[in-house]
Amino acid sequence: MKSLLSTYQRYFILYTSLLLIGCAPLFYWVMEFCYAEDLDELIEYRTHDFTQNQLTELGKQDISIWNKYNYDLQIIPHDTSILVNEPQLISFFNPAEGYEVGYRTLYTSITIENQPYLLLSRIAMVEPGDLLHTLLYEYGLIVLIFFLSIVLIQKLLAKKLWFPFYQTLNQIEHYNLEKGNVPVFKPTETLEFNRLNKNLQHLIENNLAVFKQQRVFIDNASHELQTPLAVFRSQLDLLLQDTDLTQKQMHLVQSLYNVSSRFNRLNKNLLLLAKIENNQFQQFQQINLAELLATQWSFFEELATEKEIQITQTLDATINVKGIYFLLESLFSNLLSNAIKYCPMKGSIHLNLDATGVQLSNTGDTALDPERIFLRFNRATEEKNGTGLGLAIVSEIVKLHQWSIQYTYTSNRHCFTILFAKNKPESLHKH
Amino acid sequence: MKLLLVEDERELSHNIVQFLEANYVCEQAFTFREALDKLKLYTYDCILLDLGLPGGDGLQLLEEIKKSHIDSSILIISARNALEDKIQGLELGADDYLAKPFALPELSIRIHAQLRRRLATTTNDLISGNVTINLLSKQVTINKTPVLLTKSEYALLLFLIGNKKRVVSKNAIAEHLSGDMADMLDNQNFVYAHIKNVKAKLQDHQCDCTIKTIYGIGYQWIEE
Repeated sequence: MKSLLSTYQRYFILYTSLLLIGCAPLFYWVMEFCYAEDLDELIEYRTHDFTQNQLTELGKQDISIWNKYNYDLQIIPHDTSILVNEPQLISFFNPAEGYEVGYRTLYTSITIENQPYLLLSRIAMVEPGDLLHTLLYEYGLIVLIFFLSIVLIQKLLAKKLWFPFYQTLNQIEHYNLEKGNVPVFKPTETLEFNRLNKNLQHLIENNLAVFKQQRVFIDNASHELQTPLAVFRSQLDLLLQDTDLTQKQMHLVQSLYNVSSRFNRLNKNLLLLAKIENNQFQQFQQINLAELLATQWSFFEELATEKEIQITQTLDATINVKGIYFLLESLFSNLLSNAIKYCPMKGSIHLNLDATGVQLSNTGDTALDPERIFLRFNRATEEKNGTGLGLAIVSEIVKLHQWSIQYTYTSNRHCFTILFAKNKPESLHKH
Repeated sequence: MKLLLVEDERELSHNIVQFLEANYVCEQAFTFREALDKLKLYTYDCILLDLGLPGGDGLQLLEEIKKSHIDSSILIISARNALEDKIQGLELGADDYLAKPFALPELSIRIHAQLRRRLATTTNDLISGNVTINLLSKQVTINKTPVLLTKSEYALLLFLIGNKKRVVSKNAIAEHLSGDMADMLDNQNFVYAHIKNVKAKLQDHQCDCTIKTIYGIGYQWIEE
């Protein structure tokens, strides 16, 4: 992609050059025409001068002498096939050049001693080669000066004229909705830019208002949903204290507990997703990933031991990334808990961390659909307790950190690879 | 021991009171104004504070409390579990923060911890039957013989004893032991495994208290 100004300049130079080159033949023709006009006047004058002053004194016997000394003003025998009184271009032998050149020529009928003659008045035209040569120098110089100054003026002018546009562009590039302040655009002298700025400001203000509403909504939704959940939960805790409950009733209580925690999980995950999407997390910090992974791992170790899962891990302790701690915790706990959940008894899990990224693989019997796996509420299994949001959250967190994530299934292993490189590999979400 | 519960959701407020009234004198305030009035008239050992209140923000009330030099422990109970709220609450001088929905036994043990810290009793021992827990050294002894417990087992024992006579649900224990991670672990078998281990260790040391299993869904600490 090229910038507006350089594209404009490129087209300007291209079309101006074409135009100037296209005009060169016109210029040549006009010059030639003017020159011929000039010569025609001169030969007409000479003819006139001859008939007025010399003709009366001239006798038949003088013709050969006259012709000898006046190469360009000859008296020739009358010939009816020759066009008279009309200047025209005719080629004659030029003794100075040694070859035929074009002459502006005028034939006039004259009478010497009652005998009709023709007077030939002629002047050599400038040669086309010479004319072209002159033209090249003159025209070339003019074109060059014209061209350079136009380009320079245009460049300076465009820079000045477009300055407010680039200023606005710069301002909106650095604009962050999360920070909540509308950029103040300086008034300009150009109508269109003022319009642009006004509309941008309006647009941003509207967006900000919607964003604020959304935030309030999320906050309210959280409050409104968490409170009935809290009531529900507290009822259950009270109910559990009742010593008169039968075993059957107790089992009902347990299933209500499960519903309550599932509901809670779902609500929490939805809120987390909404918050990530609304860019409500800004606290980026340097994080030692090996430490974070080790802490996370300690929570899951017991579960892994219970399923007799064989664990291997290679963690490069020197890897520091810029990230949001809370979200990275969530990212890896989602991935690790999935790995354990879907790893069969006596399976194996491998965790690898190096400078390129994190790789987590576990034994598994059926491949998941890599196109759908990161979508919300996409259930790969019949498993009931999941919220269907775990991998959607993982994918959003990865996106927020400008990383990429890839799922592959090879030789009976599910493998999730997070790459820290900002450029997404082409194989993303594909085998 | 006197508690002030500032919570606008009446049902939740009543449930909390019902759960806690065996151990504490509980007073309720349902609005910002009511809370402010009660705080001017009485002193409380602990204030349970909800953040979203009709008539004012809970954080504002917290500021008022700190301005008036009221020396109560303050525990925020809020549905707004946004990290910023939590940090702000603790910065303003709250002692603890519990996000809704919470298990009542969890609330109870948090209040217990706050009050214990406040009273700074001459002894840091928690005694139940022949079990003694030194809260500073985190050392458990039965009949003066030390019992070796893992970190999770220690937390579990403390949770049960702190909620003695009450039935504590498996979910509450799972959340207590794994914190936010409970969200990920929908498998609560690990609670059963811990209970089994603690029970065995107690038995080995001739403990006169028992952990009673209530139909496999809850547990209760019973002093003989």
